[in-house]
Amino acid sequence: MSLSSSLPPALGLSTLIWRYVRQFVRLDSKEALQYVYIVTLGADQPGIIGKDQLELAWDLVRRIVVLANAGPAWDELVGGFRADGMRFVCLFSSCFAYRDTH
Amino acid sequence: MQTGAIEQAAPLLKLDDGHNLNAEIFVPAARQAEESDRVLQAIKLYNLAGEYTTVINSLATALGTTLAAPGGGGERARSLEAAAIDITRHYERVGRAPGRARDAGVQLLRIREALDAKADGRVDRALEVGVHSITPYTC
Repeated sequence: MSLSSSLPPALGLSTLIWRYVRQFVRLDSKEALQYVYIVTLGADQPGIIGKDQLELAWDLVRRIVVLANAGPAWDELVGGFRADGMRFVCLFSSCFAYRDTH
Repeated sequence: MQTGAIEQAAPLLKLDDGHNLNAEIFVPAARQAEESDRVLQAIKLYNLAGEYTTVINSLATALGTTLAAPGGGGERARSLEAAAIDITRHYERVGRAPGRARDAGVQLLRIREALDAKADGRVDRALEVGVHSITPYTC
């Protein structure tokens, strides 16, 4: 909750969500990511407010990527790797080509 | 091919094309990972973002650090070197990010191979790798 003399009281949704997910972000980053989608629900707010909500959501995603423990779960979070472990094959562009056409 | 959870969620995050996902998530996260000394994660993220030259530069720097580390740098260094081998082979195969940094990475990996062979008592193998692979420094 933020209280300002010039503005009405406001609830910082992204801050609340981060305080909750940071407890388990290292161990279960994919679960933490699920909570971030709630922040993007405010993206249709008029003017700069909607954009701000998106920026806050993206910031949470970046924090999750950086803080999550390395390992297979992290690879599942960011993608781009074969299921057999550390094999490094960049199929990034084909992935987006797939998504663009579907 | 494994699509990551973030890519799958891109529409929910209003990141509907690859460029946005790179610019808003992968590249800044890679920088943050680098600053937090999570080099391998940073390199993987740069690779996902298509920043291949940065991948190779970061790898060469990181390999130089692990080679100089006492005792070879431990498990973390081994993971980095394993990833470096896969990345370098893949980049060489597809002709990606050619140049001095990639060549330096290849040489550093060969030095590691020679050091490992020496540590295992296979001195002949160590010499073979060294003689055939490492270009002497010339002015």
